[in-house]
Amino acid sequence: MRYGMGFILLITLAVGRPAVGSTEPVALIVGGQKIFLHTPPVLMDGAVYVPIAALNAVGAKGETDKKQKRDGQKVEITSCDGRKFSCRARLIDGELMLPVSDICPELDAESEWNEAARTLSIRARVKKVEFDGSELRVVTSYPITYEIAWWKAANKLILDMYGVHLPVKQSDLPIENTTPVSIRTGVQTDGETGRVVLDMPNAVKYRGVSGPKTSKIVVVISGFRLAPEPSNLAPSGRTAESEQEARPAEGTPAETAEPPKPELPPVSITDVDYRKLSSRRVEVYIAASGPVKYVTSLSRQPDQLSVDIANAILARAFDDMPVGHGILQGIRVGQVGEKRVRVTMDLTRVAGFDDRQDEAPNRLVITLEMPKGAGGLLSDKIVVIDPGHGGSDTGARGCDGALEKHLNLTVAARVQKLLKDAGATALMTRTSDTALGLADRADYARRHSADLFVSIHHNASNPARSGTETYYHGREMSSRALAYCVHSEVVKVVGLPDRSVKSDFAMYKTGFGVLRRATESGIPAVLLEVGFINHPVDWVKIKDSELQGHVAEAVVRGLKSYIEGNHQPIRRTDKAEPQVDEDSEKPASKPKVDTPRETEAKPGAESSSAPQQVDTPKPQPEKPASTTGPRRPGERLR
Amino acid sequence: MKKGVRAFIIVAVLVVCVGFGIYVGISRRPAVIPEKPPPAPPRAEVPAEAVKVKVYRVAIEDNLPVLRAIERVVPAGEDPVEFALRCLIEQGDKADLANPIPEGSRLLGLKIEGNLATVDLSREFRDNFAGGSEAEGLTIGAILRTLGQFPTVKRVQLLVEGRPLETLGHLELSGPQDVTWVGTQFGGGN
Repeated sequence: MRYGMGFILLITLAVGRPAVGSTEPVALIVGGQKIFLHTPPVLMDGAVYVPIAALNAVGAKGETDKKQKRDGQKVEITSCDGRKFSCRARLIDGELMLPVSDICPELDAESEWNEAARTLSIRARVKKVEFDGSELRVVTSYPITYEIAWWKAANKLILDMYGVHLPVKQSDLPIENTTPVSIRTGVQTDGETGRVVLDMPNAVKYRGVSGPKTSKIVVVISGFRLAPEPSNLAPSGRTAESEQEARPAEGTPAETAEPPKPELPPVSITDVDYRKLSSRRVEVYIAASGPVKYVTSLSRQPDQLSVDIANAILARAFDDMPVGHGILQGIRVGQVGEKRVRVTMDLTRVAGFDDRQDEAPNRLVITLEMPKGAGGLLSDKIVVIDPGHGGSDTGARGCDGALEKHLNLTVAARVQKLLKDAGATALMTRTSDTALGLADRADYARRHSADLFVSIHHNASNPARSGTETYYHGREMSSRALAYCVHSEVVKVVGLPDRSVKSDFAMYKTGFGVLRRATESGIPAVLLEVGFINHPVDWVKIKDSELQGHVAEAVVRGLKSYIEGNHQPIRRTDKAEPQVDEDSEKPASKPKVDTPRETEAKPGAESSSAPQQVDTPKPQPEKPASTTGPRRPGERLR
Repeated sequence: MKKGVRAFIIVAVLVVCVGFGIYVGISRRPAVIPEKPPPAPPRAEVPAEAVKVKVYRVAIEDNLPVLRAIERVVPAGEDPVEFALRCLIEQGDKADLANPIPEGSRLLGLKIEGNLATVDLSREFRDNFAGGSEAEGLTIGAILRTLGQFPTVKRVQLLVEGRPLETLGHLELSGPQDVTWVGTQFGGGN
């Protein structure tokens, strides 16, 4: 009875008659992404039919007798909430196909046909939005992916849900709100993203607790005050157009909501000194009155290593310290904020470095060394490029079903060609779609006496994850410098969120197999994750052939600057190098700070990412102390 | 004739004894991991009262994936270690947090000897893994954290269909993995 006249008519048309009309493959969009299916959906007789496997995309399952396929065969379907219904399938080109017009009403989903793009979008219905001050709950008709973001400037909590349908009138959506907070909903311009905006009276901390794909989104909110401070209620900086642009880049520390923290007394920086260990190695000591929180940042043009110490003040004025070491020219110390101290080490060239915090006495120890495999010219070097995965190890799967192993090989081959053009000896661990063990890759580099090793990968994780990151092994100093060199060039051309340079120990305590093996063989090695292959925005970029060429050029520029130093501006062959504006306030030439390792955390604390490690820089510009010397190009005043 | 019969009986008895001995020898040969673990291996003491175990899943906090524990009550009489592992791997419960274990994975065997847990998984664990270094860290991390909550487990050896799992693409997993090796970027142990 539920199927109504439409269903009866469809059965009349479909049952007992093998499909003979012309079929045309079309694309299916679910969750805002094109769904890869071995049997593509087809348009036939004015209706779109999808294979039974397409039900997985909406959290449902279909069961039928697949051994004896016949037209009009009944398929038993179970929705994500366990509800069962049946649907008659058509036999099209030997496959059982389900009419979308029949299954969508049963799954409480909306479908929309785009004639121009020849795509059919299926969207989950947003059934309820609830907010009680401590939790935001959203119920959808089937599991979807989503992102949560905090717009700090306007105290807004933004929930973006991918592949959902929202009613045209907000009043048609059941919103249960027991607080004075304004809740607004709307569909973004892509037509696929539904947005819920909570205008909060004050800064809050939030935590998504419902998993990356769910039909019951739960965001736990803490720090919400029912009696807001009048000053925070002012809609400062709120504009209609800025809200669309306001969704902060994922993982941007400055945009993360900060919980109210108890104010701790600042530590004093009492002394800064250095010791030349050899002609290739020097150590810098930063003494403090207690344990400190700090981040390191290796920047290029000019080559500097900065240590920013949060919640710290200078115990005395520090003069600039000329060092005159082969790797370290001098040290400058200055107060760059009310409670932030920066120690800047001016380098003669990019340097390998390590940092550790000693407890007794309380001091930071920064070790600098001439990087291995550096010096001379790129054309003198042997570089091994490692396209990740291969053969039966396909790596991750892209939005269109493309395989990571092929992408890795494509980019790696372009790196190899550019290196050969530059006169270097460029070798590949694999040149075709073959399986290769992790140890075999590093062993290949060792057997060929490689100077440097670069592994090319594309990442995958939660569907909302996006960005570029570069790994080095453990605490290996030269690889860390190489990672900075490659990463700082690649993020410029990819244009995705900068997920920073990281030690592979942050992922796993033994690190990545290829990096560990190559490093143990004395070869500086890095693993580049260009972008997230399963993120729709990343995917559009990383599959683009032109961008792949730019990534390859950026890798080669990074290798060249590591080997030859950074005294001469490195210019791209096809386009002018982006010039660094001496007066610019943008930190364009400064790569994102190294993700702090466990050793950087205070004793007992376990770090997960940069935002927990350091205080967010204050937004208002502050003049640095004169002792910090001239500001480096592109450096932002803080 | 009597001698012949007697000799025949002696030979027959010998053949039966030798055959039985071979059979016993074969059956006692150490299997890699049985399809189903033997019912009463002397591993964890089964408590008289039901207790709670932690099962690690993936939560998104500040847009970063982290491993967080959900709690499950162990039915009376069940081994807590195996129950926790089954909850994690076979995705039998409807937790809100995402399960990083590849779909279709099944637990084929679990053996704990000398603080080493040997976990045998079906081929779906390797074949259905969606790829990505971060996803690999979360998948292996969830197993190590789930097993690491038990004092009897310090290291984990992962097998697929009885053979050591070499890697899921980035990490070297062929040998025993220490339960403390989970990366700090996935958050603390809850």
